Amino acid sequence: MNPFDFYGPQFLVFYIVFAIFIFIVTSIARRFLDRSVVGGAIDPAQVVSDPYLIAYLRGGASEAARVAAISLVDRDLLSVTGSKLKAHDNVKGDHARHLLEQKILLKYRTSGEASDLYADADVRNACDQYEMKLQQLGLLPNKSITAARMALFVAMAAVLILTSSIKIVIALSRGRTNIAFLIILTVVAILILRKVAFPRQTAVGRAMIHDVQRLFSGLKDRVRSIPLHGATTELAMLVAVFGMSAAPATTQAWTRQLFPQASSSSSSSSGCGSSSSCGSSCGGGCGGGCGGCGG
Amino acid sequence: MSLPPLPEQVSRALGLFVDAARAAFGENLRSLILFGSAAEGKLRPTSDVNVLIVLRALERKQLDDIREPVRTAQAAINLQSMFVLESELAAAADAFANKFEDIRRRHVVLIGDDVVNTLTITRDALLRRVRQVLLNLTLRLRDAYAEKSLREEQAAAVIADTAGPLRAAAASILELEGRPASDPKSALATLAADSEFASVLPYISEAREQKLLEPGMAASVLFDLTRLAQWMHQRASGLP
Repeated sequence: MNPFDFYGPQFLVFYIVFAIFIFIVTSIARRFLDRSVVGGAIDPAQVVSDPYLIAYLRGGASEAARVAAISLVDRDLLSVTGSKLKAHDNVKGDHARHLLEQKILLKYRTSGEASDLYADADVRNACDQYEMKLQQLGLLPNKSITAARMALFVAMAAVLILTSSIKIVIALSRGRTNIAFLIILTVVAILILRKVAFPRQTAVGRAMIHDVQRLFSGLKDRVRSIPLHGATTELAMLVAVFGMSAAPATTQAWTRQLFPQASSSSSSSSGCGSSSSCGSSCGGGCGGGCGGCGG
Repeated sequence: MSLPPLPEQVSRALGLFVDAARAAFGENLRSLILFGSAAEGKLRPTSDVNVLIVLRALERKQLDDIREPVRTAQAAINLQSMFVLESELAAAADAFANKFEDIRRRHVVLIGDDVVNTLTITRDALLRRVRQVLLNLTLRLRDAYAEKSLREEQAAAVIADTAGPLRAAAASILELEGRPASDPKSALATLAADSEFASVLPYISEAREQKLLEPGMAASVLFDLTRLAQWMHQRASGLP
């Protein structure tokens, strides 16, 4: 049974099945290539201490900037009015430690729409450090990984194009000219192949996201009791690891107003890039705070 | 490092923190001790993970280096850390005897020596501190009742937060009475069995797990806990 002898519709079905097979092979080979270039798993300690690095890995520059803005609002360095952000009058850029936070504070010295956050060149440039670090770690594609992926893509695309070309030549030699569907199908297959061969994260990066989400799964369980108003880094970490939709209900009102699209997306999405729990073990203390020994 | 049975993500996050502490403090790190419910392997999803970090000396740079790991571990597993100099241990154990008695009862050494077991916690110090803690708790719970018992969820949160200090105080009272309990939770059950408040204890666990009680229950439970703390204070005050 020679598939090149199939009639038009039969060959189209064969081609679809063949293309799916190629996608699967490409996906497996691409993961193998990603891992072999990176050379094994990455220690999560290199990633977990920086919520913006995690957010960048998960969703790109815009996600990192959103998480930073939410952290600044939670810490009362930025104020929210509707969909607008503004730094408090006495807040200077240097009040924040991360370059990304500093740039956001500077951008909102005057009131502005939260959605303009990503349009700011300084904010975008501040995110470059995250891209570079993630590329160095092999969690986002660096030059070596991209080159390996490109070689794989070219090889697999060649197989798809060659297969359809042979059929087209045979069809034309037999006097059949109804080849338009096959050409369209080939173009669609190549576009899908491109998606399969060049995902935003590497296989190691994707595994790292799942690993970090497992590591912080307890935080998601404690979402109703995490301290707000900048007492800890928990809110920033929560939205960095799981996305805006994981934010506590009490913060959803303003996060939805600021970033309506991101807030409604799932925790694994990517793309474009109050109460205190004092005294549970210390015995408390009259006016003495809640850390240490409850004195 | 031999850990008690803990959820996988807690073990891993704790391991990362221990590595970070070792790197940050180097030779100055005398001991790193896990204590509380995690040390017993009885961690709940909402429980703190408590660690005592005993240092030979402290330099600002070292404390700077541990800042990110502390915040990360706090976010990941609700880690609460206590930094104590070796030279401060005896004084801390005396000043916060109830706390250190609890640490001595439930701890696992993750790095270094077991500096807790060798601590001397005098009966006087423990008695003084238990009384102080329980009186403080009684006053705070009265205040919390007035402020929060009109709101079911706020009252439930107070009830949940009261479990730790009440249980630790109960364990210390039984210790002082010469009949130590196996763990703080059973200590409170044993102690409350002598009172009219035994029926309120299941609500503490429920509040910790569910964050809410059945409608209409939280205020009554909170008031009973206030009375239980008062009763425990009176009992501690009666001890020689």
